[in-house]
Order: sequence, then C-alpha cells, then structure tokens
Amino acid sequence: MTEPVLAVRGLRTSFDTPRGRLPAVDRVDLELFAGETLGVVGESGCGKSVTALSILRLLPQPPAAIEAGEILFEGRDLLRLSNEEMRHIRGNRIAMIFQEPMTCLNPVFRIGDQIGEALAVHRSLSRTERAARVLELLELVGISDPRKRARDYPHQLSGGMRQRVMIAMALANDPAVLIADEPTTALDVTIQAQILELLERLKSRFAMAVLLITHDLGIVAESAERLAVLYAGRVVETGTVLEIFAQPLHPYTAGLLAALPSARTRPGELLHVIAGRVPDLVSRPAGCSFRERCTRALDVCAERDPALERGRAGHFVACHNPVSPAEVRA
Amino acid sequence: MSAPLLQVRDLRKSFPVGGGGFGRRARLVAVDGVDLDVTSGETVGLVGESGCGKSTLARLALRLIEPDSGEIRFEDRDLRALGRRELRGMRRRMQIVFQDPFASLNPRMTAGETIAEGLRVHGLARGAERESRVAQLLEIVGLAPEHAGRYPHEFSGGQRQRIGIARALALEPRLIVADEPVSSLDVSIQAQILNLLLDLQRRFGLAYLFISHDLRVVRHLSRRVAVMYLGRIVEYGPADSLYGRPQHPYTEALLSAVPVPDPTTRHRRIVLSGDVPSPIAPPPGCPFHPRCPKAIARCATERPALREIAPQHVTACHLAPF
Repeated sequence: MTEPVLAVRGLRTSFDTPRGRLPAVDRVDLELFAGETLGVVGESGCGKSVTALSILRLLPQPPAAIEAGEILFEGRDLLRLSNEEMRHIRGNRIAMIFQEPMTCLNPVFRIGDQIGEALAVHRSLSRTERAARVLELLELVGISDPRKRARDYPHQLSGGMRQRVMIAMALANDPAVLIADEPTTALDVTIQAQILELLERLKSRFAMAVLLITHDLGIVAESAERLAVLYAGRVVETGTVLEIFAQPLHPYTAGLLAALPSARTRPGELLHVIAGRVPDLVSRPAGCSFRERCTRALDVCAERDPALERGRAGHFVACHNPVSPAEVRA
Repeated sequence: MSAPLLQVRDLRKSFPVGGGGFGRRARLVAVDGVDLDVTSGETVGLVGESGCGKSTLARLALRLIEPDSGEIRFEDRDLRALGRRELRGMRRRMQIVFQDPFASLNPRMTAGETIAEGLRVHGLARGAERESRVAQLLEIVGLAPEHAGRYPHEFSGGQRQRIGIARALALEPRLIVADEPVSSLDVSIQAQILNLLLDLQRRFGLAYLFISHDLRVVRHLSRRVAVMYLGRIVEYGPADSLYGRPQHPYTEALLSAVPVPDPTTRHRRIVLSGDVPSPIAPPPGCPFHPRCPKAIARCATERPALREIAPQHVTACHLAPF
C-alpha cells in the first residue's frame, strides 16, 4: 500500500487555562494520501482546528503545548524541525486556508502584492516572472479580469472572491497538502458551491491531498473520499465516506447522521437528538468521553476508554458497543 | 376562510447609504414590494442569501422598524395605524427569536429576569405568580427552575437559545418570528432546538415565520416557503411543490447547491456564476438575469411579475413553468 503524504500519530495538544490543563486533542491519529480529500468532522470544541494548527505548528506556545505524538511529512517529523525548517514547509509544502479570509489577507496591501509575497518567500523569481505567476494564479481560481483585480485591496472584493484570493495564495507554491478549515462556512450556499467546485478541480489537477475540516456532513458526503469523526479531542471513527455513511459504527456518528433533516426524514417529524452536551475536557470523566450522552453505554464504558480498532464494517471505531447494521436500517 | 394572522402587502423599505455631506445619497432597497401571509398555527419559511432582505422583512412585519410604504395587518388590524400604546399591546401576540442567543440576551440579567421582563412590562404577573410562571416556562423549554438565577455566560449556546425562546413564549404569542434561530448551533444541538420549536407549535398552536439560509432546515419545519432575492419574493408556494418542482431558476440553483449528506447520490450541482448584485443598483429587468443560466433577451429589460403556475404556487419568471 502507498505511504500517506501526511501522518499524524498519537497527537496530544493541551492548553494552559486558569482552570487547569485542557487536553484539546489527545491520541489523534490521521493519515492523508496524495490526491484524496479527508474530511474531519465534529462539533465546536472537538479539536478539529487544534489538530490542523498543530500540524503547521501555528499555535502560540504557551498557552498551547504539543505534548506527545509525531507528524510525519515527506519522511520527517514536523515536530522535530527547527523554526527555520518549519518556515520552509509552511505555505510552501503544506498550505492552509481559513473560514474567514481576512485572517490571512492584509487590508492595506493590494491582493496581487500579497500573492507575490507568498511566492517571494519561498522562491527566487524575477519581478516579471512573479507578476506573471500572480495573474496565472488569479486566473486559476476563477477571478475574472485578473490584471485589474490584482490591484484591488481586500475590502473591494466580495466574500467569495476573497476566499478565491486566499486559495490562490495557498496554491502559490504548489503545496503537497492543503488544509482547509471550514473554508465555506461563512459563505452563502451558491458561493459555497462555487468554492467547493473550485477545490475539487484544483485537487485533481495538482494531485494535492486535502484535509477538509467541516461541521457539515453534506459537504463531506460530496467532497471527501475518507472521513474522520472527532469527539472531545479524540478520533472516534474513521474510514471511507461510503462505508461510514452506510454503516456508522460509533453511536455519536450514527446520532449526527440521524440528527440532520434529510431525504429520509419526513417534514415536521421530530429529529433524532443526541441528549446533553460535550463534556468539560479539563475534568474529563474516566472511560469513554461520549458515554454520558450515549444510549448504548455499558458498564465497561465507564471504566476503560475504548481504543480505535477495526470494526465490523471495515473501518475503525473507538467504541465498546458499536451500532449494528440492523439498528441503522431501523 | 378566516383572515390570515399576519398579512403583508406591497411592503417596501430602503436605507440611505454612504454619501454624507451634500448631494443625493444612494439608497439601498432592502425590501421591494413584498406580499406575504402567515395563517394561524402554520409555519412559513423564508429563505435567501445574505443581503436578500429577509431579516429586514422580519423586522418590518413586527414593526420593529418602520416601512416606507405598504400594509401590515396582524389579527386583521392595521399595524401601521396603531399608536404606541396599542402597538405595545399587540406585541404581546407577536414575538421574535434571534440568531445569536448571546448578543440578544442582556449579560447582566439572570435568565429568570430576562424571561420575566415581558411579564413585568405588560403587568401580567407579579411576585410569586411571576416566579412560578418563569419556572414553568423554563421547564417548557427544557431547562430546570434552578437555572433562573444564572447569567447568560453560564449557559451553552443551545441553552441560551432556549432562554430566548422562553422569553418569547412568556407573553403567550400567536406568532413567533424566528430569524436564523439555529444557524449558530452545532448539528446535535440544532436538532434539539428544532424539535423544541415543533413541540411548542403543537402544544400552543403557534405560527412561525421561520427565516433561514439553510434550505434543509426550512423544508423540515415549513408548510409553505418563500424564496427571496434582492428584496423581492421570486417564488412562493407549498413546500412539497416548491422543493419538488422549483419554478424559478434561482430556487433551482439554490436547491441544487445544498450539499446532500448521502455519498451514494451524485446530484448535479448548478453552479451560478458571479455574486449577488448590489441592492444599491440592482440590474434592470429581472434582478436575477445576469446570473441566470436560462435567461433570454426579454429578461434583461422586462421585470417578471409573480404569477401562479401551480395551485398556491407563484413564481416571478418569464420562462415558467418549465
């Protein structure tokens, strides 16, 4: 089997808070292969963004601390690189786009200059080469009249266009991995469709691997080949999108899928509800983090935290009492 | 048939933008001649993208902001003709729930004070009676009576939205305008709040004007759905008919753009080009024509009126039915 481009193994990232140490992600394993999109889903505070920011070492330390694990990329552990070496990776071999484009666009510079800067940091190009590449990138992400747009400031662009500019910046140096953190959450649905379409086109054209962080299972179903479900800082289920949507094994995954109004729910009927809320990670209870909200919890769930193991349907699940096929159909 | 609970006719509202100083200031037309009815006990969904005027319409319908022109009737009384006192009395029967449950709660008031405020203002209950009413309301929305003494920051997003709903319910309204009430919530919490809204509707016979950009959620709650684009309703009809056979190219594109949480179906996404045009200078003719994949020459010059193309189902498109 081919090697993953990026592999996260046993990652633990904690934050110092006034209330004590908060392990935002713990024992997270992820593998990302060339040319695929891995969807990472979970609700607020589950550790999706912390995982992404840990990969790029973008978290301020302190208060954050990467306490355990390794992040293997192109044969090296990113956690062992010097800051200087890491700068050659960031925005070059691994790029990231965010929910809010203004977090990475500078309001007082023209967008053409900002994309040019992303190029200049990692490559020695002449002025004219750089200017040509900027126009090429703007065209690539579907910005019409790139020559004129390159002279615009971020505030002159719509939300969808800013997102395209951020994608152009991220792609400037042909990254092997693109991390997209809720790239369409702030956009309207017709603009979201444009951006998802763009990401799909770019992924296949450049054989990039995409780590797509989202809370929207619809986006995962349409854009990703594989999926990792995070809950309270752990991966609770991972596998192909087809397998997991057909046969979710973890009660949390099954609950999330059932909570969505979809073609299978009749209008006006009560939706499936996952009772309660996410536990407080500072004083995480022993055993499985999901057990207090779980309708399938056994005694063992309070004693031992389940490990991520291969389950019946061919994908991996961390659960002592996984959902059976018969129950999903019911 | 009895008159609708809420009846809106040819409602218009524009806002001055930019300029300042001398000269004529441009006007942003937020709501441009909207008709809408909500019948007692039903849910009407209102969908559209940012800036289409749906939130302005919601506030106009409750007369929280003043329209430029048009008619608003609630319980068959002309809201625009009412004086302040009468309007306040009327407001008991029509309440609003906002998107951001944090911004819409006063951080220095406890949940109990927030819920009791309407009762106090309207002089409906005092002392022990008011307290027991607050406890009862907390229970109705799935919180516990002891939550009354806590402040907003002590609650999660979903719980805050429950407080917002309890506040709206306190005055026993007949209509609740819900402006993106679940948009800032996680999926599992969203389902809890949607179930609560459905349950309250059954128990108290409430009518909802339910505003959302999430077409899946609107479909689940609404019997009738209106689609807005650039300040106008472009399509309006029974949910089954509108979702099953959309008769406006914008509705069609909007529906096709919603990601479907089922990896085994590959539906065709209609990707519209460009952004929504500015409501300060909307395009002539049909406001959707610059982005419309079906547009013909006539669309650039002649604005289509709403016409009925199926029972109760109207659309503003020259090409409908298609």
